[in-house]
Amino acid sequence: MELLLLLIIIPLLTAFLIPLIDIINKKARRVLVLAASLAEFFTFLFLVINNWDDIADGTIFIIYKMGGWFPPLGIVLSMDMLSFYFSLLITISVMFLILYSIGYIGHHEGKYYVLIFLMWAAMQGIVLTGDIFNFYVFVELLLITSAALIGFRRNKKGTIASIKYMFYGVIGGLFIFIGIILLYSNLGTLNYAEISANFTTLSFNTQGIISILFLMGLFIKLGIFPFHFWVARAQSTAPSPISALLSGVVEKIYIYAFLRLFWMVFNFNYLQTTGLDKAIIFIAITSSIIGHILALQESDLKRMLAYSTIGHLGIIVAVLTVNTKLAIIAGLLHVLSHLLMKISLFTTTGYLLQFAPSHQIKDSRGVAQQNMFVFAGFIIAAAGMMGLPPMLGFFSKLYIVKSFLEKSYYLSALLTIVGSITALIYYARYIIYGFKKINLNSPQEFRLILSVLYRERLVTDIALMFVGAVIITGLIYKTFFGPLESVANLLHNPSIYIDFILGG
Amino acid sequence: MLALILGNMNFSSFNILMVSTGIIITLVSIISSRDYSYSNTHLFYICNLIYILGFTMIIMTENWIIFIIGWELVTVSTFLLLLWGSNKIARVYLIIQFIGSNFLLYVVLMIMNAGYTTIGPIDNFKLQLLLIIGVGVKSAIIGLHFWLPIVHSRAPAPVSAILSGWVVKLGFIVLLKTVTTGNILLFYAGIAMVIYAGIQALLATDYKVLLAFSTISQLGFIAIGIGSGNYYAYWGSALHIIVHGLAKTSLFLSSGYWVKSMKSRSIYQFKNGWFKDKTNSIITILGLTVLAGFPILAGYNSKHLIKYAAGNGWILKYVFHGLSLITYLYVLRFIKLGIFNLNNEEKRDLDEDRKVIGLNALSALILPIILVVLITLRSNIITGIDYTDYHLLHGFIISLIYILISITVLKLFNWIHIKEKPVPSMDLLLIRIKNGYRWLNGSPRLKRLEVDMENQIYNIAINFAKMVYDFLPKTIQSQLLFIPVVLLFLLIFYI
Repeated sequence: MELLLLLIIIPLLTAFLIPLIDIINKKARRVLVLAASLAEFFTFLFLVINNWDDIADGTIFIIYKMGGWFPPLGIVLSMDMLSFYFSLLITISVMFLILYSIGYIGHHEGKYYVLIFLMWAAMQGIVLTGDIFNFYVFVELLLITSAALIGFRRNKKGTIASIKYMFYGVIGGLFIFIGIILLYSNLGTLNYAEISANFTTLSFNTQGIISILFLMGLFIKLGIFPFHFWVARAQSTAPSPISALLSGVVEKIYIYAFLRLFWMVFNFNYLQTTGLDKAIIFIAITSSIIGHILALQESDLKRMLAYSTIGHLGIIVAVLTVNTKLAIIAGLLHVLSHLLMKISLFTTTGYLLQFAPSHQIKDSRGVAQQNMFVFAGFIIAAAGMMGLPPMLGFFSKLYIVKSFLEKSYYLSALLTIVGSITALIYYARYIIYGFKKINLNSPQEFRLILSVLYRERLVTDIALMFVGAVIITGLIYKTFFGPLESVANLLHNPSIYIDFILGG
Repeated sequence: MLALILGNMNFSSFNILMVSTGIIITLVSIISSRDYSYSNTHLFYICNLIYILGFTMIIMTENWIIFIIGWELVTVSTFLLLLWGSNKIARVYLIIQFIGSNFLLYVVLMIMNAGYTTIGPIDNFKLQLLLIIGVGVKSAIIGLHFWLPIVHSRAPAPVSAILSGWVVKLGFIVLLKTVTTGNILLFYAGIAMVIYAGIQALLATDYKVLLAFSTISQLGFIAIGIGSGNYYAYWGSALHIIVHGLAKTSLFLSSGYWVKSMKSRSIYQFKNGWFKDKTNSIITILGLTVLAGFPILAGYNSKHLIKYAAGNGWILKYVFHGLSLITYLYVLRFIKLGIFNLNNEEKRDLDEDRKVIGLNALSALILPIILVVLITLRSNIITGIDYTDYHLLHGFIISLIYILISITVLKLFNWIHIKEKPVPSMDLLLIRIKNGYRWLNGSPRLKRLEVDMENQIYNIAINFAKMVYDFLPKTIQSQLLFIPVVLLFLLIFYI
């Protein structure tokens, strides 16, 4: 169906149109940005309405053959339940983050919107494509655009962070690229379904090396522990909406890639027979606890949030690798809850940091005085991070611990809990400073009282909207179980996907 | 929603009884809180409502997950209630309780994995023990009780009434449902709690600290009843949960009024309490009588039933007499030092500023006591067992003997009129630990607090984290070295 192509084409085209329209009229660009993001949203909505029955059953399968070429030869775009879940998260969260950016950055930065729309196109592309080389192209597009956005402030710190991010991203991409070369030279195809059908015919060693190469690439891109060095720098120097995008959405794209590649394209049973899944759980859980420990020592607020991202991603990767039905549901639920909570934390932080002289936690005294609602939003999102009911974070933590215990990973379950206790301590530190009263009239305590935001109301409203989503999704968490269960079924039976792509 | 409630809740008379007791305690505390000029009263009420919702979920549900949600709600709402007092205490409470409730989450999920899908009797001794430790942080089982005197003695009076009257009981209500056949470790932990906390209450010089320790001591009786596995003792603990909850609420609320009228919390400053505030004195004495278990009031009934836990062994019977005696000792000591420390010459000066407590206070204080009296009349209905003869005359004589012994002992030790002690705090606890460490080293002990010890513990965690951070390489060349290392690790693992 052409709607799948539209989901990628609309942001891609907008990104190229923005500079052209800039030449004609700067005001017209504002309309274009808003219209394009709404158009993308409504395209997705249209897709949902058209296929509502299939989505409700969890049997949605849409395929689009580029140029009319049939699958093993041509590139296909496809949407199954897994792609649908992630595409939904991307569409909604990026749309609201673009609206947030309109309030936060303003309209005078054309390049910003070009890059963010390219990012959007790349993310949709990664999620929707059915071709492994296409996947690689979109990953690199995502890398280049997000690196440019990290250095968007054009200061020394931002440039260093951007180069470092680029360095790691390119090396990670290189691993993926070598893996693709090996796949192509051995199987002669780049189509997911075709690879998946023939992967077991490869020799034992080739399978292992290809899996390890892709694993390395994804670990570097995810910022799992020994490769986490770029995360804090990148996410702290970027503007707040970009931090939210990187931490909340982009990291989840690689989680999607992890699921798609290792469950549906490569043979997951193979990983289990070699015991490689134990190694993945070990690395991921170590990464998680180290991320929380590093967040504890951090005195910079945004870096602290970035380290907490490492902690949560480690848990998600570990719990998905446990590979029971409950574990996959729990992992995907935590994808949603972490996405909502991190975006609300970064968006509220972006607003609150306007009232602090620096990003240091000590300098955040008195932010509660400036806007109590936004600060309360920060506290609610942080409570979700710690895992307090009724936020969604509690339920995802509960099911993660449950699925670890079911498969007797006692230490992993314990470390998940220790992580959330650590989270209490490092969030409490900021909250206590935030509640300290300051005298706004005294010259010693003088600080920026006027916000420099372009549209303050828009920024606070969208931040609070994400906070509201954290609570509401927590109250209706059971409704996610049906769709996520069908995702888990799909992951455990990749033959459904193969039959669909190659047979249809 | 209705299906969710009906499917997971058990509306047995026991559950409804427990919930209504909890609600009465909360309402009484709210009534009393109107005498303190708190800011943001509507928020105070909302927190109370969340708290009621939380404990209703804990008591009513048969579903472990709803139980955990309720448990966390109680943690959060009581933390918020404590914010009306001191921020620091609230923070300490939240961190300790959050660690406890997370451990409980772990334990509950282990129990669920062992096949116990609904809340009910658990046969596995190890799982019972884990559950006891899990609820132990909130219910102050000995060893995990260290925070209770600190928080309960420093919380505002209405909040400490809620905490001491009901929140600590929630864990025991769960244990009542799960540990039905007894647990020998819980039994001995109960005896240790009664003795240790009873002695601490006897040596307390601060009224609220005395009450806090007496809470731990009375919880010990409940633990004995549950731990013994004896049928009568088991129902005795159920009765003691209700009776002690009501009495302790009344006592903690009255402590707030005592502190108000005496302008001090030290029991040595409670001079002429009888002259100053006769109503409050009578209510306090009644409440303390319930705690001691003097016949006629329901405290006697519950303790009488719990005494069946001793079984036939004569040693344990004497131990149980000792346990009852401890309660009498600290109750009588307070009545003498606090209320009847009279000085007739000062009476005339006091006539002018005699305190008459208001309607709110009176209703808040008297309602729990009235309920205790009602329970006394119908305690066999409440426990649900066919036991009507409580041997009142025998109990009366025994109690008189207890009183005589207590008075003699107290007279001998001059009513234990020891030097005034500081109110317990986290800092004092930590400095005691530090002094223990210094004692082992042979270095001289610290006399007083040089630095904020609570921050020191905090700094230890942060410095440890900093060490981890410093240990990791800083230059990009060395950071990139991790890539071949991990690649090698995975390859070796795979080979």
